[in-house]
Amino acid sequence: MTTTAFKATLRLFKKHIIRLLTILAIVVVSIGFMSGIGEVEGKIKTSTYRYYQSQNISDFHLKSKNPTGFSADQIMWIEERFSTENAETVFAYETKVDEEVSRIYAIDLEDQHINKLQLIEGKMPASADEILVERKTNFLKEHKLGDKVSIGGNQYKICGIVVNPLLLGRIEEPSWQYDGDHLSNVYYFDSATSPIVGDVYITLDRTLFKECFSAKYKKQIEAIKQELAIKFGNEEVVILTLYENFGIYSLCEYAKKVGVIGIVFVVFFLLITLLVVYSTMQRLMSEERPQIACMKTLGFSNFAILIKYVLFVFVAALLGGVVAFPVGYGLSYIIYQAFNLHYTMPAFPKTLEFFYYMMTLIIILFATTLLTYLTGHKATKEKPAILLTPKAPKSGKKVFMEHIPFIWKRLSFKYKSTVRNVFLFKSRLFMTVLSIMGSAVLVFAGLGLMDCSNSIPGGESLSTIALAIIAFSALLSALVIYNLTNINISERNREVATLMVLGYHNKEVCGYIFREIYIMSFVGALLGLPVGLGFVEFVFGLIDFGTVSQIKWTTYVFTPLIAMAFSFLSTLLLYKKITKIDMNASLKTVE
Amino acid sequence: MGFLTLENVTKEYKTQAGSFRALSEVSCELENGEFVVVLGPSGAGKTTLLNLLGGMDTLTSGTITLDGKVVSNLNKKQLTQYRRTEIGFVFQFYNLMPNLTALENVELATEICPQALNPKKVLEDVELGGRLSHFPAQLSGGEQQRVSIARAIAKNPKILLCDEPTGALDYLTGKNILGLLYDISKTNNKLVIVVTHNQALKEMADKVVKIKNGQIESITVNKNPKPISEIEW
Repeated sequence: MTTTAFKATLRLFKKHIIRLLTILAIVVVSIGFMSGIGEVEGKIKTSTYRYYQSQNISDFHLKSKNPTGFSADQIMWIEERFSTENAETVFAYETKVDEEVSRIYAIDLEDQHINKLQLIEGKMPASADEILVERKTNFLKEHKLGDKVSIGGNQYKICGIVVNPLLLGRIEEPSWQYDGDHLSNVYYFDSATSPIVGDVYITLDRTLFKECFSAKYKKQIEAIKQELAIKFGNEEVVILTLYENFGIYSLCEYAKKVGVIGIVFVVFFLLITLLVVYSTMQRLMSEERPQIACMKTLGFSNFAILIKYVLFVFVAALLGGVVAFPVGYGLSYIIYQAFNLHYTMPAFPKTLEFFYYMMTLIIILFATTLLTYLTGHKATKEKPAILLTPKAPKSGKKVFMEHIPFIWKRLSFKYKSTVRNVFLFKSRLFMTVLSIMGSAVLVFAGLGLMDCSNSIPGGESLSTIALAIIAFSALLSALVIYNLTNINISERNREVATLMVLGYHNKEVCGYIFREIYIMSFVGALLGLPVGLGFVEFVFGLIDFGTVSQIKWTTYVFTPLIAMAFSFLSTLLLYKKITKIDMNASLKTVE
Repeated sequence: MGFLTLENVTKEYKTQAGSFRALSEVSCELENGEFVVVLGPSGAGKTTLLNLLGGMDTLTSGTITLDGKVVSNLNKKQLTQYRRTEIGFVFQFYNLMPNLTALENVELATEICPQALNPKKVLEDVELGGRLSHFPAQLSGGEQQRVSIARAIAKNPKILLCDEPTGALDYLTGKNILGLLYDISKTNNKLVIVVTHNQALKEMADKVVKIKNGQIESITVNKNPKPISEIEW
């Protein structure tokens, strides 16, 4: 690039700084959301796998139905089959006092190597009268350090509060002994020997669980489950796998749901972003027609002419992408922490996951630069002589409504002109309606997901995602509408200047321009409802969650209202831009 | 005092290099019903003068009086009102709304003017009675300029300001339009000001104002203006 070309590029950036910032902001919102929500599944899987490794969570939990527990032979077989290292014996029983069921584990705390308890407060027992207690959940009762509890007539002091990795979920834990009851307390004794072995934990190859519940993992589990069933028979022993562990299994299932929601929304966000960036660049280049023509007559190659526009969109999108990274990371963190409502989540993995971020960034960079280049290429293919003459103005046409005199005659002059304009500029109508419809669909989906999350018991863990979708969709809508309004106004500089010379007051001029934008926004937002409904139904089907009938009427009302509110806000922000238009624009040649 | 009087009108633009005088101490008096041609090369200050007369810009010093009222000290809102009721503007490139018919383009102006003339009648006066429901793209350049003129006179303004009204038209059509503007000044008794760089037009004017380097070079009164049909260029 020559020095002059570089200067020209810098001037382009300076001249269109608002557009640059708008593209940048849209990319921040879009990639921020897409990477933020997309990365959650990976984060949860990573942290679950790490937790699985660090606490050495068992893949099998064998429970003897025999009151005397497992026989010495049975234990020996297990230890030989899986090695002593991969098996651990436990004694646990349950008691019911005043309708409260308590489970008591007797574990050799010093030699615990499978399903290791995680001490979150206090210390491990130092004497026989000290015990550990499971932390408070939605169903388990709260205990404080130093509290005294009475078990089997003996008094014990609580010295530590722990999390049992098998009780990760905060949802109720059913009793083994008392059908239909759930646990209120879980206590852990330190006991080097247990009189009876009622439970055996077995671990398999740790790396199998790397992708959580993968097909490979399932295959292995089923094979061994069959082997165990043959060995022990169904009468004697209950074989529990991680699939039966509500905490870990449902956590991974929810993570998958979030993953699916992520993919679907990523596609939608991506499409809207591309549409809006493309229409912005298209407008910018049509304004630059004379410059392009001039460069062409000077003998510059198409590439040399277009590189500055390509750089413009590339830099805007790249900067947006850079800012989007912490936004996405923060969003992942917020959604991840929201899972704490229902699970005691392991620490947020501080690994930097790039997949969604890189994917969306690369697609956006690639697609926007390519689209910009192609649009420009089409313009440069015209002969300079044609480029130098202004694009022929669109001819006016009667619209279909004029053939219905019943309606047309009742419209005031202002509305006739508005209606014609709306239908005359079809590509503008199409772009605006489509973008606003897309934004409305996202807002509708977010609100709909929220309605369902609130009405399905235990479905909350999805309300934070719904909130994130609503917030980011609303932000995207606002930017999209602002951007389209901005483009609309700059396309109509001359019209506005002429109206001003004719003596139209600012308010009248704005009314003339804005009426059109409001109508298009309204149509787009209304179309967003049926399309949004279809979209939500599709998403619900994919994640097997909620039904369309759970969507409240308020969602149907708020969706178009939000779009209209943003439309109104954008026009308010751009009011100054209209009133600042130079009337001399009306005297100049047609651009 | 004339119908339109300019006294020591000065317009300065602030630029990065300092201030620049686009118009300097311009004074002249123009009368109702006069056909005035403002002549000057590009950069002489014609557009600045047009902007000041048309209420599209404010002056730095001096006074402009129209029909006994000082119009050079109006605020923004009053200027809009001034453009609305007192000024009819004819553009070089017509500036018609592409999505409005000829009649609707005129109505665009008349519906905001209380003293407006009947739009249909005015279009008939400029010989476009048969093209009322045509869109600009369906009209020739000359016809489009006629609509633009109709739009300006239908407001029933005090002054008709024309910025190179024939600049985008062919020779014969241009002459035709100038003839129309001249007739309007006489039949409607309007002050018509045509800004141009075409020297030949000075022969048809009642008064010729020549501008050079932001100053008035000369004001000539033509006792016997030539009809446009007799002028060649």
